[in-house]
Amino acid sequence: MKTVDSIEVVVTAIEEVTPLIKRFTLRQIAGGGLPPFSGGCHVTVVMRGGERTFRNPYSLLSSPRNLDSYEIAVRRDDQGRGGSLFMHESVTVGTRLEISHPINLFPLSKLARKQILIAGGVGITPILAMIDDLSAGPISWELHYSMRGHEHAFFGNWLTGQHGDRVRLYDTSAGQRIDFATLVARQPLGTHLYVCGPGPMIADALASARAAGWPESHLHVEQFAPPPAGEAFEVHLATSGKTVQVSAEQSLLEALEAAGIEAPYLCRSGACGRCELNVVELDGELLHNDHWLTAEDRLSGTKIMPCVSRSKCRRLVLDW
Amino acid sequence: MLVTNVKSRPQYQQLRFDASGRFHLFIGQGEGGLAFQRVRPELPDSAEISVIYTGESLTGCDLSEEVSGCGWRQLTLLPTQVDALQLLDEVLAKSVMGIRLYVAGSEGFIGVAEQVAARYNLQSDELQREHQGSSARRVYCVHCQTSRDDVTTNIVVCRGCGRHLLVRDHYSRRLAAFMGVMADAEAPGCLPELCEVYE
Repeated sequence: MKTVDSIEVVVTAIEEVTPLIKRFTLRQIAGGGLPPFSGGCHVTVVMRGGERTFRNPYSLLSSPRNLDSYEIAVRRDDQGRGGSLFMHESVTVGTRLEISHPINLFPLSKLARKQILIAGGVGITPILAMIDDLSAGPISWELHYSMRGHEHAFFGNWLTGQHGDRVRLYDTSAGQRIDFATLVARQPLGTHLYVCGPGPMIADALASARAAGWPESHLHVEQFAPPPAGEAFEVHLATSGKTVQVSAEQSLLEALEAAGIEAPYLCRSGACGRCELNVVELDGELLHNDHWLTAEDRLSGTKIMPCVSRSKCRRLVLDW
Repeated sequence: MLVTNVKSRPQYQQLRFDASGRFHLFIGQGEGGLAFQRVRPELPDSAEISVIYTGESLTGCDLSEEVSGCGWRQLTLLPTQVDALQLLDEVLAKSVMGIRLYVAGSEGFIGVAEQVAARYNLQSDELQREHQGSSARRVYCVHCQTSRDDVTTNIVVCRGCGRHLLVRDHYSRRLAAFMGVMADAEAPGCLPELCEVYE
């Protein structure tokens, strides 16, 4: 059973927008319009790179009003697992790729009275499409965008040109930092905060907002981090009787996929809950890296999100 | 008779101080004063709290003196529910993120207070509701869009259009009322027996 329908696309343009970030334009091979999406959506790009298949989520940054093509931006990570290097080095104009339908785990609140967007570095990508949605509507918004040096300012400069005062840029190489405590103080009721960027920036923004009494329902976060590496272990699937080895570098989900098992997934970043599996037996401990399971779930030791979580054990038995 | 487990009806809780907020606004009516008296001892002295109360109620339960006696730094007593809800609107318009709203009183009052709060996009983690007092229903006439707060019977005459309305169990949060539909539309004058249902 295929859990996520994919779309065959071809790369029609590649642009180096900063020394580390390339922007890719994707068109549907079958022709016709791509599926509609909203600001904050991402697609999972399937990269079949030799021995290993990567499935990395990338935000759609192009205008949701243009369905002739999608645009994604990929930051090169030389220390990463290889997905971004594949995109930077092996993908050229004309390369065919498979992508998932767009999924939105970072949607704008439709009932907000004011939107505050915060981005760091390549975290600007979902926010570009969100701003496109917002600029067509009546809700007031502002963007605070932190990046490192003028050579990384491509999107920041473009946004300033489009939206002027609504956009505030912070150059961290010049010591400029977003003052979150001041930013979250004295905001009108119904303000929503959206943060996409490096982990410490997200943590700072959330801590300041919570300290000022902001409730969780007004805080929205997106972070695509690769699944953490760990130790190798063996997973046994109780229902199908299959046994799969998970290597130190692989996520549990990737190991299942490599073995030809079509396990369910959507976000691949521990946020959406789609891939949740039940643990039957374990001779060690579960290492949870998701944002989905509740504290009680974790204590129970009976659930795992295979997209980001793994286990420190010899053998894990799943109900699958 | 239509008394069943009404799934659409909101679940009300007891008010509890929410320490994650920075500003705390209590608004209540009638028997809602009981909730304020009960919760007062658990409120820290350092918390920034203001209270709006009106003794106006269907049951005539005015607890203005008791509520005043609890010792609030900022208490506004008002003669009517309309005044209290008007002040709520004015206070929310000037408020900033970090507020927690606590509403106590009849279901009709809570529902209308929630409508005001919704205009400021207050969500369930910023708002607590405690039901106190009468179980009278606020009923919305689906024909002429008039609401009335004081419905205790299965059939009620609409004050807007004079139709006999059957009080349905479906509660609309948007309208803050139960739906009332014409009871004798198919057979004019043929009405079920009137009974007191919602004391």
